[in-house]
Amino acid sequence: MAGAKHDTMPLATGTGLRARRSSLEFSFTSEQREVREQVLRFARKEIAPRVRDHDLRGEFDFQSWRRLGEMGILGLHLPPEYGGGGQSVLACVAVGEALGEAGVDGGLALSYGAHSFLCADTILVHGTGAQRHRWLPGLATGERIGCMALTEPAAGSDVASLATRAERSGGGYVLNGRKMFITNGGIADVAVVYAKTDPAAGHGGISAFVVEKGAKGFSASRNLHKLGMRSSVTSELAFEDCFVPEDQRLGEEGAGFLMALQTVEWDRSTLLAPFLGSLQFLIDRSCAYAKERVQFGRPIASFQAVKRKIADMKIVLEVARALVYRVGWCKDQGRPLNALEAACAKLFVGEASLGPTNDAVVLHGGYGYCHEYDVERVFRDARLGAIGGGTSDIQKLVISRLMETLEI
Amino acid sequence: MDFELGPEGQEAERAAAWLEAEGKAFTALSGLDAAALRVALLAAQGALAGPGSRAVAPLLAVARRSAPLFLALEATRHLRDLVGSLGPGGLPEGEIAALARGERIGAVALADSAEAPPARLARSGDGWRLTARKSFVTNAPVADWIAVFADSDGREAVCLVSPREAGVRPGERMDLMGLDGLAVAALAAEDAPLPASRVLGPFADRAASARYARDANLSIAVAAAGLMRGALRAAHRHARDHRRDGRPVFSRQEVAFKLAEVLALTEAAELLCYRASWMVETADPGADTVVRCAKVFCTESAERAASACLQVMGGEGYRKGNAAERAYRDAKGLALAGTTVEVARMAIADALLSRA
Repeated sequence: MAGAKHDTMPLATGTGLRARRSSLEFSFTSEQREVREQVLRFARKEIAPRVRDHDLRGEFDFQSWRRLGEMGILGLHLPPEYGGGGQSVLACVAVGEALGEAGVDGGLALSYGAHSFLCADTILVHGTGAQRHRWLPGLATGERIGCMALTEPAAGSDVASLATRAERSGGGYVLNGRKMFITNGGIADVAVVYAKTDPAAGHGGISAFVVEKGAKGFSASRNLHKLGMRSSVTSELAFEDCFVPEDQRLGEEGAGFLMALQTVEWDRSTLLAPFLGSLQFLIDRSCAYAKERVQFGRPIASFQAVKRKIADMKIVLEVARALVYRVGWCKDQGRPLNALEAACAKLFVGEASLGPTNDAVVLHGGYGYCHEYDVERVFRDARLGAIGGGTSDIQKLVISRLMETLEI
Repeated sequence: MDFELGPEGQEAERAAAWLEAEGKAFTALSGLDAAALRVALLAAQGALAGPGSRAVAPLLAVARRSAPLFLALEATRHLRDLVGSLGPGGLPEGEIAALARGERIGAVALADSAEAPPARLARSGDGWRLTARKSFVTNAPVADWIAVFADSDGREAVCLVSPREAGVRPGERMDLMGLDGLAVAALAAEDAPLPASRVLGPFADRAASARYARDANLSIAVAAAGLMRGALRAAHRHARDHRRDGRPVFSRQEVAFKLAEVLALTEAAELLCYRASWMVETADPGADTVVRCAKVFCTESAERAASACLQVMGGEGYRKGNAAERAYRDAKGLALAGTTVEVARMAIADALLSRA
């Protein structure tokens, strides 16, 4: 160091940097905040009281679904010409967060995500004008329920190994195969289905189709009972010589792989928003309980071990917010494949939310283990975060592949 | 929302790269003396924003190159911020500008020594007398000006002292486990006389120390986030270049996934710094809590990240002088500097419980 000679760094401006241009900005617009508050009030009043019952019975809540549709939530991001609200991705993030904060279960929020983003958005982005007009208005109102069918019993994140076939036949395609873990599968009216049109072409041999409920050869063969997200219907779908007309193919033949990649970005962004809200829900519940519950002559909120749990919930929430908001913003900017941002958000939220949900159960003691206090439901629901839409290991695979060439 | 750094933010990264290229010594400091720090301050002053500003990109850019250098620069900035907000006339004319130009070194002394009574300030004629024992003051051995928090009949005051003045005595420079080159020492003032102009306050509330503590915690969080990126870059480079059994070690999932986790943590830490900074800048009522969240998350993640990066680098990582080894030692210092993570967690919970 001694004797080193340094000129002033070339950045020097004499007036300092303007914070605005070298910092990021995190505020929702007033419209987004208003939508969020409306949804929070509505969901607390009309949906949350029904959650426990449907969760325990593992039943989809059709009444709440209809109300979500009437509120305009199910088509929030779709353009007005298709009956949607024309809102941004960040508005959808705000709404998802509000649902979680209100105490809406992850199951209903997951059904909303699969319907609006995995199904309707795929039709919006890749459909022709005629296809959009045919399917989107019904999906926007929730009168018709949508799903997306990609995963198979033997093919998940390894999309190239899909076994479902779509063979050309008389003005269309004949689909044969099975799909697994399909959210909304058993109740869906409209399904976006991925199948191989050219098995020899690897990723380039996958195409997407819209299959409607009632199509001959299409059935939901069984509903799966799950640890969490119990009010969402998760099904195995079967296609047995199911004829799909050519005008129900989405995009070009062979373009399905990229479409699927774009779709899973929703899994890794907006679909994470309810997890954020759920963390706020847990903080609210935990604080209230800790102040009310007295042990050893004083509220347990006065014990540092309890405070530590509450603090950790807040820390994870704030980090998760920053990550998820960024992905939402990236999508709003129309960035085609923000894989790194999305995978980082998914990896963090999926893994990090497990600790606080577990802490919330422990903080509530025996009550936390009982259904009446709702925190155990959030604990069960959170488990899917590190699994659905690509496991945490898959996120690490995505990130590490990018790191092979990316200068970090 | 806006997650795009403007041209100035991108320029900050370029300029910090220049700092690294031109001043290799900054990243391998063994002893940051006053002359060396002045050189660094002069060289880096353009990368740091003006008083009150929270432009994170340039701060991160410097912190990625050297956490101790960054902390030394920040200590000067904090002094400037304090004086600028509480009483610009507290220092002799031209000194604020000299601090801003990097020609003077600053320090702030908040924490009292556990073995001594709290710092106190007493009236003496037209002026004051300060008695204080402060511990772990960054830049104390090399500073030109030090802001010392003291109590005056239950009210908070900030005293601006020069270490060369009568009664003011910086302690011996401490030998630290990490943060190589950072000049840290205790500071003692024994009935030190001060003119009235160099005492800011006394104030009825403790807002000044609360604000300083918040800003210092944010600086430490940024230092931790920067340190993570620096260690990650070194480990990433090593893993791609270093071959075992005919292929780069990065081709093994055990290595690649470890670094993927570190990258996700680093992205998260940086974003949380930006978010906390934005909340401070916009006077969000939740800003103090989120800054504490940033302090805890970033420093604890830095410990985890540094350990993982060192592990990936194998024997090379265990040798003195590489970024992962430095980060491994520095991260521990950051976790306990400022508000410790334990105290920060309690404060976060207290804030939430008081609102519930």
